[in-house]
Amino acid sequence: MRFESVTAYAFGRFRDETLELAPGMNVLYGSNEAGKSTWHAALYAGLCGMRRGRGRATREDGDFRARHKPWDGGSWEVEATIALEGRRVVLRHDLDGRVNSSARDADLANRDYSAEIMNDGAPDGAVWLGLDRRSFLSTACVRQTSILAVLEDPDDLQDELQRAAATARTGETAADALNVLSTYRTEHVGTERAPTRPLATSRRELQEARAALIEAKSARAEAATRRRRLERIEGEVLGLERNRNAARAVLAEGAATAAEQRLARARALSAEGEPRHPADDGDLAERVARALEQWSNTPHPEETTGPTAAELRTRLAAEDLDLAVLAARDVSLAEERLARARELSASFPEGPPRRPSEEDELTQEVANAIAVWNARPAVSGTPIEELRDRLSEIDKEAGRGPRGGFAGWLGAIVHWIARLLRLAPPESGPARSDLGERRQRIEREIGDATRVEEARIAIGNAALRVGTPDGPTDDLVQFLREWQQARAEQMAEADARLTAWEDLQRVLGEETVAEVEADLTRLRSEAKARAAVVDEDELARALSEPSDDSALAQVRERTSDAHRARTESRLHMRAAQDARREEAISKRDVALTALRDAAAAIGSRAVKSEDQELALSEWLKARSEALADSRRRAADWEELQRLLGERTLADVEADVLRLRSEANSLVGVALPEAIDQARADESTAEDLENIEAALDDARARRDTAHGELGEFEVGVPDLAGAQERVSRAEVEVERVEDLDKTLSTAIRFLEAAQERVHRNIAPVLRATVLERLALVTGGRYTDCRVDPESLEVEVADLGGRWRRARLLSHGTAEQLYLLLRAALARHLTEPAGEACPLILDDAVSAADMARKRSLLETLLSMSEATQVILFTHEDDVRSWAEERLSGADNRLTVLAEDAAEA
Amino acid sequence: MFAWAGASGDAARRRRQALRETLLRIVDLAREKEADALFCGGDLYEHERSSRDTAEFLRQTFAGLDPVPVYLAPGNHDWYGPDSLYALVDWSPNVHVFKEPKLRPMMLASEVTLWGAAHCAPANTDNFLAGFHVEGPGVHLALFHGAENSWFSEQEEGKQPHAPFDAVQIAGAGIDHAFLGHYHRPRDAVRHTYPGNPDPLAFGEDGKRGAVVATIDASGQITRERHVIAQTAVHDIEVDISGCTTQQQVRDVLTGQVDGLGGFARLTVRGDLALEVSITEGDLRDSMNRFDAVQIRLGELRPAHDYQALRREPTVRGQFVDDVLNARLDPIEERRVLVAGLRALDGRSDLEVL
Repeated sequence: MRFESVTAYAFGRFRDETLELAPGMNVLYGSNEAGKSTWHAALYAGLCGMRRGRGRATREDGDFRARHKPWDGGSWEVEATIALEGRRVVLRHDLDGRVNSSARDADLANRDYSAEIMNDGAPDGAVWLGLDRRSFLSTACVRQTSILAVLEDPDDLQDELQRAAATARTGETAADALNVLSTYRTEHVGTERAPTRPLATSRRELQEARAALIEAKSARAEAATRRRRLERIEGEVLGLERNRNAARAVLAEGAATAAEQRLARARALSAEGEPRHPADDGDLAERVARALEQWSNTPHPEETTGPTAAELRTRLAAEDLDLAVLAARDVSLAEERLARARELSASFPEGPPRRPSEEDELTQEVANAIAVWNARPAVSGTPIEELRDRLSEIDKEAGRGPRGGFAGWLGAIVHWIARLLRLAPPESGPARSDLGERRQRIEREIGDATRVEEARIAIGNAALRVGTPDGPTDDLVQFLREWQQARAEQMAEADARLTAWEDLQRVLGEETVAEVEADLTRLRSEAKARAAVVDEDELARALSEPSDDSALAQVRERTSDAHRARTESRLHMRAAQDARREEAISKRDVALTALRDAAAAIGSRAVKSEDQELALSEWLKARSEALADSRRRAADWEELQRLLGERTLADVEADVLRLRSEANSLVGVALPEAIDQARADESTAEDLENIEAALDDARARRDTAHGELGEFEVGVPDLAGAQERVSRAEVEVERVEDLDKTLSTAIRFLEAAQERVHRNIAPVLRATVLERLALVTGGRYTDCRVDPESLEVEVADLGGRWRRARLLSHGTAEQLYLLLRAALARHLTEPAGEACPLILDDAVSAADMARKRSLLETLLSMSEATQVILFTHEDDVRSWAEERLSGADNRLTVLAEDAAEA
Repeated sequence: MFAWAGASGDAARRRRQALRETLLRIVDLAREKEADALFCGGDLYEHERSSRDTAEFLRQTFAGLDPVPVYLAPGNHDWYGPDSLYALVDWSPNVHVFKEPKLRPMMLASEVTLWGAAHCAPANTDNFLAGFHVEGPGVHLALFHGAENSWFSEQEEGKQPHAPFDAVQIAGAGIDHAFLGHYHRPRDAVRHTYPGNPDPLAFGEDGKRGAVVATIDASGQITRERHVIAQTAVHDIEVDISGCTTQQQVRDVLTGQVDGLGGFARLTVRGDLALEVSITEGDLRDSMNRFDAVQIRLGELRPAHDYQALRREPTVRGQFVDDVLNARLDPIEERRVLVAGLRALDGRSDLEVL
């Protein structure tokens, strides 16, 4: 982009004036009042115009307006013709109304480019450079002060580069911006570790607010708990009050009822009047009572039956005699017994006699044999064998064949038995009958012969047992009979000894002779003792009288120990009975006397003791009743006095009415079911005391709880306020955290952008500087490099030594500055494809001529690629321009002072 | 209600006071209309936030209406329980609190019966009308806190259907008319009435909300007369700050728009915000300090800056803008980051961005 001309239709002091510009180096020379600044502003305004946004103008716009709007108050217009790549554009700006601004093609009709470059409501030619009004001013315009600042403080060179890289010099460096962001974040956000910064304070406040909310909720819960506890106690109080009211009512009812009863009683007692004193007959009454008691306590004499005591004593004396007689008799008997025993025992010095049983068996066997022999049948004398042969003959005759031997004999016997039993058929015919009879006779003969033989054998055997040698049977029988006789005699003698022995045993009993002797000794002693208690003559006489055993047995029975004991007992009883009877008779006499006297004392005319007793009893009874009545009336009177106290009956009646009324009132305020319960429990005054004590305690606890609750609730934090505090704190934390997020994100993006841009700009700067480094340094420095981190520029001399550009000489630094500005301008406008003009306002005025010329030469060199417009008031610069600027591409324009004045 | 950001303690107290004054106005209205009874269908207070002061205020307020009877049917926010104000307050004789989760009768007049029920828990209360039918002759009215199913979808977001029922169940139960609480949006149906919240609870509320003066004839027919008795002024304000280049200009625009207003406001800021305008939410609140509380929303707020041109600039600034725009941040965050970064590059220290 190059300015071809700028026309101030109405701009500052200018009216319809045009400033023509060459495409290369332009030196605009004029004095301080020639309007250089105005043309400078017109150039800017002609290209960029002014923003037309709504709202109040910015301070910069205001200053611009104040300085460059025509003073006459008319229109404010400026026009610039610029050459772009391939076209020429006339930009006309209505700076006041900002309505008629336009950007039309200078060569082609009706072609308006305003829309391409519309910025903030007005066409802005800087847009074609990729800039805007603001950045164009800072990119294209180089003021003298900028260069001077570089000279005065080399550090500014780097700062300038960074600012240009950051914002095209319209703002701060990226580092400054980051510093601003960080500082702001530190101050307006902070960290958790910075206790006074908003992040920490807001979070702390939120934490505290939440804690306060929890505390408020907890306090409310605690208050609710206390309230429930209070309610429980109040319920307890209520229950106790009900119970107390019920107990009071029941007790009052009871008191009223009792009072009513007392009143009724008092009325009844009052009706009876005062009691009278009883008669003073206490002594007589005592005498009567004592007489009656004595009479009633006196026993009747016992009636006696049976033998008298004397008779019993006589009987006992007779028994003593009998006993003495018996003792004497016993002695006699014992002496006889002892004598008999001694006699019998003398026959058995070797002990009891013995009778062998074996001999008894032999005697029996002999007796049996003799008996069998004596019972033998009479026999014919035919031998048995012969009889048997005859029998065989008969059997043969009978044709039945002989039956020999034992079988035949057995068969005959069987047949015989069968016939006897009528089981066998009878023999047939007369022959058979004869034979049968014969046969029977023979068979009998055989039987008899057999028995005789058997008797003979028995005799033989017995004889052999008693030791008799063999002999004829009859001899043997005789011998046996003799032996039997002798034997019988021996047995009789043995029996006699046995009888004597048995007698001895009977005499001794279970005792021995020595024991019998001892018994005798004892009996004699007893007899002596018995004899001692009886009359000796009577005993002798009794003993002289004959007595048999029966009489003695009777005496013995009569004088047995048991009988005597009974007699003695009867004697004792009868004696005692007699004594008691005598005593009773005596007492009864005394009592009867007292009874009579007492009866006489009470005036009774009764004669019989029974009547006197009855009279006395009735007299006592009547007196007792009179006394009882008297005491009752006295007690009633005392009771009446107690009931009334110091009051009258009317007073008591009034009290009763009052008590009943009070009871009714108490019943009226008490719960019926509580009263029912109290009645069922039969509540007492003690119960009421206990209830009232419990009620006092419950009320005290209730009052304490109520007071504590009240105090506690006063301190319970406002829950709504606590919740709202939390809400506010949350909003504040959210705000601070949002701000933190915004700032941290901005810092992150800015750091990244800075790093990237610096890395992009560094090679651009180096390439641009290298193009003219040798030229502007007279060949002293041939190389340069740019730190992408800080954009610090270093140059290298021919010896390869690197130096920081800001530390070079002023002149070199100034030129480097111009080169870097141009490089940055190129870089900033490069995306748009247009070269940004450089507009310098007295940029070299502070330098000496040599440095000026170097700068001017550099500018001239730069103008080959970039239009350079240099405003100056210095003559030496004008001279340089007259000398160096020639041709169509460069131009020296001398601004006329008078024209400016016009 | 209105417990959103920015409501300071004083504002909240004023808000609560406004709610109390609303109730006082309802009581005044009942007195003025010589009402036979005053009904409240629940959510009279917030159980969790109730205080002794609330309890005493309610007691005194209803006692002041004595002998006009007051019938209270606890809702889900003021459910009846041993710790509830309903149980704790020593109500005046004219106040009757329904205490059971079943409809119980109260004789309002000869042959006029009011059936009322209470929520006894903050949630899970069943349909009061399920299996219920009135007993006895005459007109039968109902008072409870419940969600009529067909009207539920018309309520604000977040509303829960407590004790839900169908409108047909009212007639089915033999009830001539039901006076209901729960829904904030008013409704005058044939057999039931939702008066709506008498004082604003949110911005953008519609319908004529407030107290309903109902007249019931012997046949159970009802005529209703609605009265707006809100004490809280609520304003929804939108301001376009396009063209403002200074904070003062924004303030001026805002001041001109809210002149003469008060109460609660919701401010929506939109338009093109110039980079050079340094204004924060706090600044906007300062400008609206005439209100008890202000809620600020960012509408379509665009930067009055040609970021597209800037991003082409071969500078750190251009790179920064380009990087941020490419990062696809949340629009608000993107705007804030860009503004903060650009202001920092301009050497400005007003980095907190609206």
